[in-house]
Amino acid sequence: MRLNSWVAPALLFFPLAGCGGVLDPHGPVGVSEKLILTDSLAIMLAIVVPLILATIGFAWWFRASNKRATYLPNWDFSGHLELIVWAIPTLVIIFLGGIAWFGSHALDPYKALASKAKPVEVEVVSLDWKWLFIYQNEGIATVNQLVVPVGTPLHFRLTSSGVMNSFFVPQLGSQIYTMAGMTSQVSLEADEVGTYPGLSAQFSGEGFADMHFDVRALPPDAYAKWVASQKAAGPTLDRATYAALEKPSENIRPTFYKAVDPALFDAIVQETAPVAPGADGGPGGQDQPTPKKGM
Amino acid sequence: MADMAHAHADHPTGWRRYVYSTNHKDIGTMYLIFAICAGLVGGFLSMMMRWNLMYPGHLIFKDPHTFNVFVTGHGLIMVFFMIMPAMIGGFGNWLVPLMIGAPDMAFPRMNNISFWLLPFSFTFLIMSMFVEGDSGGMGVGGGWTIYAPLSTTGSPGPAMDFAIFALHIAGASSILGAINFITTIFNMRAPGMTIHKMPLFVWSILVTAFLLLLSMPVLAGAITMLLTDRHFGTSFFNAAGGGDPILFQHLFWFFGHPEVYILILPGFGMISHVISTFSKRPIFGYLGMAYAMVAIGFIGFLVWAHHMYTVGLSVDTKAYFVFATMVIAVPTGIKIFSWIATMWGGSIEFKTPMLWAVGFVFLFTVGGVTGVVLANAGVDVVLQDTYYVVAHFHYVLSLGAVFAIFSGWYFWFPKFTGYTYNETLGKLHFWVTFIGVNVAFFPMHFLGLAGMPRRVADYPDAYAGWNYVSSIGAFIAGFGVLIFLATMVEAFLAKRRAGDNPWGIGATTLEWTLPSPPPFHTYNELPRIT
Amino acid sequence: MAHSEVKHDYHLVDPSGWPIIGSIGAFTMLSGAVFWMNSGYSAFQSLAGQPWIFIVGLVLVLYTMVGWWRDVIKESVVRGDHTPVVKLGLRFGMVLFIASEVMFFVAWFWAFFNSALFPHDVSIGQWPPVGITTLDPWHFPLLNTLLLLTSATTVTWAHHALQHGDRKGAIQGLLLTVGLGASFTCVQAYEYSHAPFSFGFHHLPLIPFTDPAHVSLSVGAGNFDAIYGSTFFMATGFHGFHVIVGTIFLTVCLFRAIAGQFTPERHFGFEAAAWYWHFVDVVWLFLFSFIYVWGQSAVTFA
Repeated sequence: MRLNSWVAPALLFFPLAGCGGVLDPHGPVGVSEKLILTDSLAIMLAIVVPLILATIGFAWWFRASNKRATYLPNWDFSGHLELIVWAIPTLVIIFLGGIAWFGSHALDPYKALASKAKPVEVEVVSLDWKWLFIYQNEGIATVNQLVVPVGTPLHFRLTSSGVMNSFFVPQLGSQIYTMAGMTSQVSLEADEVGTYPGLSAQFSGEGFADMHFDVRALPPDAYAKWVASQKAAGPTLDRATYAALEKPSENIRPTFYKAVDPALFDAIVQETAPVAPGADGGPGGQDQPTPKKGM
Repeated sequence: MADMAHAHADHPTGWRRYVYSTNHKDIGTMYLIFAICAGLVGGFLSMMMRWNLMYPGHLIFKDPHTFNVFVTGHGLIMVFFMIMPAMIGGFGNWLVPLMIGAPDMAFPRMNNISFWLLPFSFTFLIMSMFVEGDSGGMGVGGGWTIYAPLSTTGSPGPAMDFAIFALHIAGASSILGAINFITTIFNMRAPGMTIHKMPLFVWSILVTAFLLLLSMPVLAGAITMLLTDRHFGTSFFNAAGGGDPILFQHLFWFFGHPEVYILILPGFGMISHVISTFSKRPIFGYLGMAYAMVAIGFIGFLVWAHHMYTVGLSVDTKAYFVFATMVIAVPTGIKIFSWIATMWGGSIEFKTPMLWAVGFVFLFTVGGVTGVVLANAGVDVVLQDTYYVVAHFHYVLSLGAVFAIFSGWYFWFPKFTGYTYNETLGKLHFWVTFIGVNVAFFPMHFLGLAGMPRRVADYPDAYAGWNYVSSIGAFIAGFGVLIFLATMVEAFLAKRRAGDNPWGIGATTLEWTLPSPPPFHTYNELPRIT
Repeated sequence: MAHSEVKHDYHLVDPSGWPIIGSIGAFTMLSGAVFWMNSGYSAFQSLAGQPWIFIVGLVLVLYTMVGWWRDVIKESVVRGDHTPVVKLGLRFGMVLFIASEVMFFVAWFWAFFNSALFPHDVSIGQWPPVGITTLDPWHFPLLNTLLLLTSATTVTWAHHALQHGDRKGAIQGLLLTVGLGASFTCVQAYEYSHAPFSFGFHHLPLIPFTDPAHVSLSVGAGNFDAIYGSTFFMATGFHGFHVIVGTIFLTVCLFRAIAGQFTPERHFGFEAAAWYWHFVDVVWLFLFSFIYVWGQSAVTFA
């Protein structure tokens, strides 16, 4: 039962550097989220650690064999105590609720980030089971790898070709769901050069566990060079190649496209983009699952 | 059925006694046995999951879909076939009539169909594992939340239909049970048993029954929409037909959030009895405790969208749900304070039920901390769908609700069976489980903070260490289940008779005035409460 | 086993086989529904697409309902088990059942308002969606409203007659109510068959769902207005189902009234049917106000 004595520090300061996660943010959004996380955790622990100690302490002190403890067999109410019992949680919640209220507004994923630089516009499509990134202004596209310049706001518009996913780069901050027929948005920014793992957080079926992608944050000039080199060579993403790409596949390597159909994203949102036959939900897939023998 | 007229004078024996039962004690016993069986199945699934996640690299499930089926099955079984039948069906059926001085439930025959629907519902869920789910794999792999469109376009096979019908039947069972409990509590209290004299467990079942009654039909509607989307050509959740996949989440969580209080409130009731009994003191702040549960139940209906912060809700909507969610922490905090105040000035005996109860308060509080953290939309966007959430709800449910069930089980075991259990084995069960679950679930906080998403069948090497620790903890807790079974076998073999009241002066509710086990029909002459 | 004498008014029901038969019936019926709905699933072999198991289960469920409620009536009328406190319990039970039914309709109204109030959040943009011609609320829907409102007054008339021991009046009132309920169903059936919008996706009418042409799960170019038919038919359809159930319930009461089972003091079965009927009535008023009147398009289909 002495667990609690290390719960508090562990939760706050446990070394997670190797993992790189929410506690190791590399962008302004992630940094403010970590701040709220630690704040609310600290406030809660300030209440809860004494509470847990009191639970165990009282239970032990008032054990039947302790003759020094006073036994009050009939005491079952005290107005003062009841008042305290109601006041503490109420005050804490008003305080925490305030933090949360402002936090929700400040960290609204749809809100643009304050910055002088013009944001990089990226369109994100979650496919079964990989990520397609379309750089609208640059006219290029990538699969399962996102290359971004540091210090520049990134504005994402997201949708899905089929089932829901959640676009999540833990070290940059907020995640957001991707949904077929709808567009969601999120603004993020990377502050430091590095490679940050990205993933889908919302369970989406068979290949979900391998829906990883790397976010490579490059210095602005290196980013510009990368864009130029992308445009030089590689395949083109048009409707036909998209139909092939849209077929369910798992654990695929990063792919790069030198050019992309600029209306592709909107077509996917409008559900007018071609769908691979036999893909889940495709006309061939309905009501006729792959025949299997026996039950 | 005319030949059975007045059969209750000498009740039927053999299989008919149970299958045709209209007796709340027999039905309660069936619920408890069913819950133990379902719990073993659900526990087995979780052991396999932890085994698979022990090291990276798809340890046992080469096909991730099978892992997903196990995750889904584990969640649905533990919620609908273990915790709910145990707490509401088992303890509720046994104890509510005994505690309020009623001879039986209000609708004894309906009580029986509430039970018998469940094994068939469970059969549907098991059947779903052996027919096709998504194209190629057997079983439902959509998670217990069965979000559309993964549960419509994403799972074209009949497995999802079986799962939907399993939920329909379980829901019907719960609604009938809820009607029965509310009517019993309102209409069948013994003379002098006023609402404000009812034991807290009865209060907790009353609030729970209202939550069931009002939330289950919404789930029934939502899964009916899933069904019609799948087979009848509607487009409720299909964006291509003008529908809205988020609608499913609204409907699901309008049911789902009250549901988590359904899982924990009866536990609150049981813990109150145990702490009061073993402190040999009346519960502190009885009215506050009772109305805190009412408040939790009421606010529980107003906070559903805090499960949906990442779907792109408007910022004001989110801010409202953040605040409403946090308000729930107030009545919950009051309950925890009142339990501690009940121990103050007590003369506490650490029998097995009391250990589980103190363990409950401790673990539930930890789950509460992470709950308040997650309630905050600004933080939730980096923790949603990660192992942090898994850790949170296992602390409040797997540890909170299950610890309450074990506490109540050891507490009322002598009353239900007439036998005492072995105190040493019971305590061993507690300590092994306590260590096991903490080792299993505490590291999940770190994994979540590191960004490991839930329901993954495999993970990058970066998450390897803590997953190993977590799996070891799960196996320790699994070993605890074996000790539990051994404790039960020992108790039934040893046949040590328990007296009417094995717990002494602290046990003040009506059931302790009856013999152990109570006769088939109790209170043929109603007790008078002064 | 020797028992002390029972000294309370509660009803300790005899052991009964109905719960297990009913559970088996529900299980059979819904398994059958899975077989029926999955015509394309080859592992079901000859069962795939077949309704027979569903029908067997349905018969079993209906048999349970008839037998169970026959037992309840016998206990009440023949054995006199329904003491005042038991009757109060039955009242609680019926009110709570109706409360849960209300919540079931909340789900369907939620689906409707989700699209009708926030059409911009989904792909339709306006309510009703472009291309949908709605039914003119002031024709058949208004007629149905009047039918149901009138039936509410006739059922109250029957109730008053029962309370005053006027058996003939009660029978007349019930006859009229059942007739009005049945007319509502006929009018709705006519309205459904002439509706200017389809049931759902791809403009398919409501056809047997085993038809392979019924491609409900397809993604891709769809018709965004499908949501109108979905919400309309499912909400009014479930209401229509409740009207039919209520009509049957009232018909049973009619036969019980003819058999002379109701007295001015004992007629809870009738009261339950009447409450249920009023609930169905109120749900209709909401459907009429919101789905038909408030949600009508600029041009309506008369």
